[in-house]
Amino acid sequence: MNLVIGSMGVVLTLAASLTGSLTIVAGLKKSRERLRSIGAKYAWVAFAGMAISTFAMQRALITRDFSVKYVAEQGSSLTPPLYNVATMWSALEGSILLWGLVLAGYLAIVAKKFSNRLSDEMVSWALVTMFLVTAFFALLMLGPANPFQSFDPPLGYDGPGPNPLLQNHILVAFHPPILYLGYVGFTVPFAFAIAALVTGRLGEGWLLITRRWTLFSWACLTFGIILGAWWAYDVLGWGGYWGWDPVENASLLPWLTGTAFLHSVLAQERRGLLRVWNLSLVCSTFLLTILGTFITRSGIIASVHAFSEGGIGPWLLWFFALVLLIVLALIFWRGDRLRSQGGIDSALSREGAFLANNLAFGAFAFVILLGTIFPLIVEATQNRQISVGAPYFEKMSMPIGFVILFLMAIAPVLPWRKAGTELLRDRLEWPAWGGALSLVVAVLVGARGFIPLLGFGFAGFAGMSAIRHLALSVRRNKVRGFVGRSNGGMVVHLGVVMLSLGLIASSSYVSQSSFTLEPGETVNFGGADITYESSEQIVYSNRIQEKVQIRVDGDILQPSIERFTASGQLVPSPTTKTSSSKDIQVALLDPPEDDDQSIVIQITEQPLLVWIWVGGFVMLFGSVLSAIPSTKRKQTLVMPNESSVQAEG
Amino acid sequence: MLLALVALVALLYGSFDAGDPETPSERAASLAATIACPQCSGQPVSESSAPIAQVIRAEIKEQVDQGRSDSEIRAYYVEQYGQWVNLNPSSSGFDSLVWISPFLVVGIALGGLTLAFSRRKSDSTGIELTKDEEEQIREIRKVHRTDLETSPNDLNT
Amino acid sequence: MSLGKSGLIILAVVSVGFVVLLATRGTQSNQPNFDLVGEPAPLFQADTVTGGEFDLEDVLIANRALIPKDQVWVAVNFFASWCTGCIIEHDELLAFHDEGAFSSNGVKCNTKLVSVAFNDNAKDIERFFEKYGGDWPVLLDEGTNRVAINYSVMTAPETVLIAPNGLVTKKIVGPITYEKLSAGIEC
Repeated sequence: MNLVIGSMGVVLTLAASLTGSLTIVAGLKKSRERLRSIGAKYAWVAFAGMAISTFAMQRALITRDFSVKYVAEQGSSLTPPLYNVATMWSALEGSILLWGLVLAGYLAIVAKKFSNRLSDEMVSWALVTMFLVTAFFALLMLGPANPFQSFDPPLGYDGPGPNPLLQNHILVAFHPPILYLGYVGFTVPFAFAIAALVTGRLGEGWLLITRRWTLFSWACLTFGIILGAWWAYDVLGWGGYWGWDPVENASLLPWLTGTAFLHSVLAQERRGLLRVWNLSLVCSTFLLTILGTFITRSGIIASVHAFSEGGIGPWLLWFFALVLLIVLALIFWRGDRLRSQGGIDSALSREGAFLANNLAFGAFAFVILLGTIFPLIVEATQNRQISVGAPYFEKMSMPIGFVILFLMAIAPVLPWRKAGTELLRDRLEWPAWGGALSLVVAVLVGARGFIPLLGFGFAGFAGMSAIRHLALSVRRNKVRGFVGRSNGGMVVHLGVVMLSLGLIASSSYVSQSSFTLEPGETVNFGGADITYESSEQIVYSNRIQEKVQIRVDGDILQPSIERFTASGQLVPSPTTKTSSSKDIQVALLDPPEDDDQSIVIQITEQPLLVWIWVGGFVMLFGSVLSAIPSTKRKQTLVMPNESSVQAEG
Repeated sequence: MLLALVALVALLYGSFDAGDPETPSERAASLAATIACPQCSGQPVSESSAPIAQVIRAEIKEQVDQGRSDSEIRAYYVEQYGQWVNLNPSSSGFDSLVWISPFLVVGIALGGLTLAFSRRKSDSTGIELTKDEEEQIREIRKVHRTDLETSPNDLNT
Repeated sequence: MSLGKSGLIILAVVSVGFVVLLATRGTQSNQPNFDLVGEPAPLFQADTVTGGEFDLEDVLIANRALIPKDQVWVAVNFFASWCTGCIIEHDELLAFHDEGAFSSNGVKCNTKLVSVAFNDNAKDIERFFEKYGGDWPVLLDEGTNRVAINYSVMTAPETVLIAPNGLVTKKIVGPITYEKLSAGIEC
């Protein structure tokens, strides 16, 4: 029953998407608005299809309906209830279903929000684009990534359950959906960019329309990536939160171009500049999400995150190639309309900073993409295997990170058009003191090493610049000084500074060691006393947990190892003692046995680690602030080249 | 300026003050982060609980204690398993491209931009917006309640 | 053609190359290193779990003084009590140990089977052999992990066959069968 319902849902979505796009195109060609409205309504049908399929899949998972092949392979009677819901996205086919659901959701909301604007050709073309992308994903679900294949379970069959690492942490329920809200969300500004190219209306229109959609997608993507890092940190046991694994890199690439895009649009809104950059950045962001999906699911690069492939690779690659071709062709065709009014007068200006920003993020994305696929290039041209791992990415991303911090510091104080040195010196005084102060403080508390100290200096520089902007804004507008695009943006920058401090400190000053302990034994590590006090064994529905109690400087931590019954897999569960100055993580490597109560534990100490998560939350908070309008709107508006500005109402 | 002096002194002091020398276990740990676990999907032995990763980690510690140098230890594992266990791409030969090309690309981009920048200065301005298009933008902005608020800095200009 | 348009063409060409590159890749996996085959076997000596000792060099030196019919072929099996493949292949090893190997003209050749423990401990090994049988030397001391790396072992089980003259004639990754191990043994 679930199979039928589920498949019907997918077919419905495919049919509705194709019909909708054809109807709207007909409405565009024949200039019949009525047709376009009808076409837009199909968005709801498409969404209904995905909702039905999701309902069917969830029902199958929760009732352990093993006649559905996906449930037979991923589900288990032993999986705890909440994790059944999350099992939907724990393997390939279900993850495409989640993608389809989110995409159809965005499609329906866009259709609703713009339902009275369909007379605008651009809106109509944007909908057509979104319909076509939705159709593609529905097609995937009827072809290589079919979640509703049938299975004939033998008597007494019980599935293996999802990978144990996907069953022991609450974040499995949040990280993928939020990440997808981010990835998929960029389809919206992309669709409008395509529409702008098709209609030739390449001014600020498409940017303004999609501003909030872009911000929302970016915020979700940022938060989704941070949650992924947090999850890794909580679960892995060696204090790592980012491995430069190909799939992780693939998720960072669209974030980089998306962040560049978010900033670069300001230059086009204010002065009509960087049009080609903006189009390229948003199209790149969308293309990179497809590329990322391809890398994750094709198996051409080995990764711990990779889903098993099942022939979906070629489909995704063809889609990527097709979209890339269309984008390049459209830009080529519309090339003459893309030249900006005016240009950048001086490199030392707000526009110049945005251009530099685009270059920095572009370079960052290039480095990560190159490092990730370089082994493939070597294999193709020279037939040998090499690896490009963390040492490469860390070394290369560090200077770029410093450049970005530097830009974060000076861009907010740079005026448009041209900056005088007197002005700059005046405005940068506070930030410069901020940088010097953080340097001095770092050295005083014992931080050593040229690179980390430089990083602390830049972070302080950038942080103080953001604080200065906020202070000035609050002085003018009291509490309202915190909301609005540029103020919210400064809060986000503060979050980035906190994140950077956490990254620099934790990666430069990590210390780790493992110890064998008898019950009652104490060792000293990094100034803290670690005592093995006791142990216990707990039996759950799907696993057996060996837990030990370790006293770290007065607090009890309880790391454990869990053996999952269905697969026999051993999954460690470390615990962390967090403080604002450092994190101490204890992982159990070797549990006590009946005749040998000694254990092996691994202790990892990283300073300032919690600030990575705090910074992430501040970034999220800042995005929300950014979305709140800061001034009440009045009649006249700021036009690109006007110098007079509208006071708040 | 006092500020620059303070910052410079702090930076130089922090960079050249020896701090604690690297202990053998720290050296072993940083080496382990550059050697891939042969049985894993590209993870370093420092981040894997696979049996071979544990073995190699222990052996690296052994070799550090025995006094071998970093490059000797890395060469040993490359010898035994292949170049791909070295997570640091080589800086000679074809592989050095991965280190060099980002700088090349950035250099070309900067060069291209400078070229375009100087060319634009001598070109006439590009396509102007038509009256209709300006009107359309005004409409869109009105409808969308966008908040192009000024930043405090701009009022100073 | 303008700078922009030529830039676009270049970008298009690079993109095509990029897509072709991705399209022509197969799935990536780490290949075991078979460089060892045909080379002299790395020498090693280690203690057994039952208190004895084994030295590969002794066997090879002794081989030089023997006629081909009496020379000893050494099979080195890297194993662990936690590895399921080792359980699967154990019967085959038992057969090899008990029956020996025969050359192509039907002569029974001298063979010696030793297991080298890989990331394991004495207690679990003893339990394994109690449960599944077998009484050939099992080597375990602080040096045996290094031996495994010297033989480019990636995980258990792996087996290496050493000819009487000390050259490695084959390396088999994964559970072994009697036929695979004894094929090619001549004396």
